[in-house]
Amino acid sequence: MNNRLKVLRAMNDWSQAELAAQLDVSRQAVNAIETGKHDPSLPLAFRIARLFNMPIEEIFDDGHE
Amino acid sequence: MPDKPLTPREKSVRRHNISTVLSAAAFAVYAAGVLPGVTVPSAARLIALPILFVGVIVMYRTRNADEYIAAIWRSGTSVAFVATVAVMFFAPALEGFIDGITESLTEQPTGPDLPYAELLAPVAIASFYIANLWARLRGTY
Repeated sequence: MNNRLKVLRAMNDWSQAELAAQLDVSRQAVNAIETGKHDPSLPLAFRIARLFNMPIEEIFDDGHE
Repeated sequence: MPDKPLTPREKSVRRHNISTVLSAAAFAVYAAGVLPGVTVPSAARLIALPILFVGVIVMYRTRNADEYIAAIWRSGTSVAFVATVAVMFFAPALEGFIDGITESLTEQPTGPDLPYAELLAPVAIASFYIANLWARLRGTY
């Protein structure tokens, strides 16, 4: 699944560790999500959406219209 | 500027990752000792065994440190389970099939000679670490 996490993190000038701390996950998890190696769970996807104040579908793209 | 202190979750993830590397290395040393043509000092194998044992315990205790670590753990354990079942049920059938072909060609009788019971544990552990590495490199799917 594609996502805009890296772009959104850069826009907020956060490091992976800072974003991880806010999401209560490890830095490795943030890195894995950014590089597309791990799809976040639904609760984590909601936390990400709330943190950036955006709908989930504007952050994550599953390739379907 | 000093680094920020690690959160409990980061510490737990780090413990899991270090345990994974150490126990995989210990398993490689221990398993290499049974390979033909490979000489491993018995002291090294003796040290490797407790490292593997403690490493696996730490990995188990920290397997839910993070959802990413949990996904990696699931990848490893599910592949290890399938490998175990495959060795238990399909390896004897495959050996019998190959022996049947060999016997028909050479007309020399061959019996079952693969030690399946001894193969189960090393195959399960090796497949766990291979799947674990694969999940870290290619993704947790």
